[in-house]
Amino acid sequence: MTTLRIGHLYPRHMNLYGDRGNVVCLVNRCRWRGISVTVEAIGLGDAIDPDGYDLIFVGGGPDREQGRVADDLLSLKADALRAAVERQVVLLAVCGGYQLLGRYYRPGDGADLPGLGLLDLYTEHPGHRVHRCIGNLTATWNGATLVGFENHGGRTHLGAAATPLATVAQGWGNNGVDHTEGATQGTVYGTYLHGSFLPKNPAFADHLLAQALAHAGAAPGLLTPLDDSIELRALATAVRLAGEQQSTGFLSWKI
Amino acid sequence: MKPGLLQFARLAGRAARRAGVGGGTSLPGLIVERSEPALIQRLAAGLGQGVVLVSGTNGKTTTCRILADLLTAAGLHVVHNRTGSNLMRGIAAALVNTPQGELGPNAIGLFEVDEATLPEAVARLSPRLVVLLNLFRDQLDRYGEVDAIVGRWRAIIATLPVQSSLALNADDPMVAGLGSAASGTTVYFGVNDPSAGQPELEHAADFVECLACGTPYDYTVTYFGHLGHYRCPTCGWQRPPLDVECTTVRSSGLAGSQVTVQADGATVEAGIPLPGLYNVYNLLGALAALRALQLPLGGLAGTLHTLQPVFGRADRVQVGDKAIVTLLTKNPVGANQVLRALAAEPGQKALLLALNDGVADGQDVSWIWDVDYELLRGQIARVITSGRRAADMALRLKHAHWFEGDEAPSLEALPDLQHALQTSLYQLLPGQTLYVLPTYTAMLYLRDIMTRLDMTRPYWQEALR
Ligand SMILES: [Zn+2]
Repeated sequence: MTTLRIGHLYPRHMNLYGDRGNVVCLVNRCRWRGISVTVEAIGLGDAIDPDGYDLIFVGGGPDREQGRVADDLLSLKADALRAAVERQVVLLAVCGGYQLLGRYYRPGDGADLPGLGLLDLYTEHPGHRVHRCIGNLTATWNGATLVGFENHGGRTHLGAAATPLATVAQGWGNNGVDHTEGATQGTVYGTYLHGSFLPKNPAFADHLLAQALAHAGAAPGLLTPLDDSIELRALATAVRLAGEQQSTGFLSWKI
Repeated sequence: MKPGLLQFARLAGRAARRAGVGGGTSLPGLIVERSEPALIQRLAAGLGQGVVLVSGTNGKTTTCRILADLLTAAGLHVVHNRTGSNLMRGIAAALVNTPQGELGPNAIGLFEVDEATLPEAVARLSPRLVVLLNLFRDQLDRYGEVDAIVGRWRAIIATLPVQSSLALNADDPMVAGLGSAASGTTVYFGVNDPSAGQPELEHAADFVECLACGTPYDYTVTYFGHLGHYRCPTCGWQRPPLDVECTTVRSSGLAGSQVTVQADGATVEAGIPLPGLYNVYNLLGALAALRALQLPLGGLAGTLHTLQPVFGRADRVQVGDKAIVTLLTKNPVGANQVLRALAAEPGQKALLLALNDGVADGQDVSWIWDVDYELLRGQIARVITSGRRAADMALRLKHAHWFEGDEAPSLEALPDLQHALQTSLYQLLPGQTLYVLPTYTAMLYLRDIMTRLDMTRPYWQEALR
């Protein structure tokens, strides 16, 4: 029997906005289908076995953790993560974790932080006089709607090798200018959405699980349909609230 | 002063209350703040015993309530913002609403202050004492990160004169570390009862590292959130010695706790009729304040037994032969404490969880994923979720496995809070209790609904004279 192996990167340092809900969701969507699943925490100082996981998740963290996590990623984990991604391991990164997967992060003041370069993008913080991108976000992905809450100062710009994950309908997205949200490159996914992200976007969660199960060598057809009625109600609520927020001018007021 | 401003502001508040506009409790303050901000300082100067400010993420309202009772029992006349309006306008309103004759040598100002407002309140009110309870992740979309608040607090504490004192929670390293910025006396309070601890830090715990050198702390005891007995393995900075020390905690679930507190060589045995270790800390904060004000701690037992919960903080309302207990849950650490107290209650529970995403709740509801709702799995007879984010809450509970198993309740999400409350009550059997867990704005709305349905008095009546 197949076991899906999930690696949770920096669960203590990078869990600012309930990001662990994404891991909870992946685990439950497997268990509800009778698929066995394990979760392993990968912290600061831990080495990564590139053959040890089918899916690796990293969330967002407070600004002060970003530098230390970036150091640890580059010095201890970069080669293994690159090797894992080359072997089609699925990597999902949210918010701060997403920024770390790019080529670099330029803070409002101070030197550039180099990133892993697993996504062809860079992020620049315009400084604290410019508003943060905060609010409910909805975006179109593969003809479906993704929802979540975004809260980031940095503006992310994609290079040619990365594909936007989704097109913004309401909210800021990557940079508030080009209507893109998130990025994908091979089996690497990054997004600014939390809320938590995967529980309210079950189709996207299953999209990731399908690839991770393929990596685990599972036979196709394990992802049987689930009753997602409450998931879809939560998604519909988020779409409605994002619309209200737009029409009441909340986004411009919020800065 | 502009002629009649004070009177006008008071009248406006009274008119607003009569018209049923939001209680009208902070309207007079808003008027004064807008038209003559210096009036606050002038009125505060009439408080002969000075001003005490209480801040922190959780427990401000309850701590102020306990401290107000203790100060009153000590013979002082307490002026405070008791309806929980904790911005500058709420403080202004409390001062404006106090009849001039009640200010005087015996009057003391006691104000709970929002974390973000504390620097302004300190600058404008020159407090005699600042009580800091804790700092947790809360409403990140509004406040920014906890670190930013600590930085602002540190800067304002450094401006306090040597005559001003601090009461700090020694078990919260973020708060305890502020002691080094102060020039006056600091009173540290905390819990020394490892049996009240948990095996490990909860998910909701912020990641906390040494203020001096940046190393993550080692904990020998963890209570809740990042509160506990900590020490930096690199530079040795550690939890300061306690001046007000809780040596034993015996919890009786929602009914409260029995505690032993030692300070100044005196031992106080007290029962606190409010649930959970978080309320023990609120009591300790109030006792530390007394100590910092150099008031005697002895003879408090009688006062403590008469403490009444504040609306929404474990208060019980009887509706015919059924009861409603409301437990405010507004951030992960506080919510976990409420869930722990509930889990200690025997039997299967009926619950109503109301999740709103207003500005005062935090518009980002991601925080529910850091709450350990799993604690109550298997103890739920019935549950309804409500509020603007009723479906989000139901989804969270689904992932906490509340709806799995033979005896599991069915999933019901009813966004309209009045509908949800009435349905929950209807489903309740005689003699049973409904536990309502609302976020902040849901709690205010709930209070309005219960008032309208004649289940409780309007909360602002107690603030009027
Ligand atoms: Zn240290």
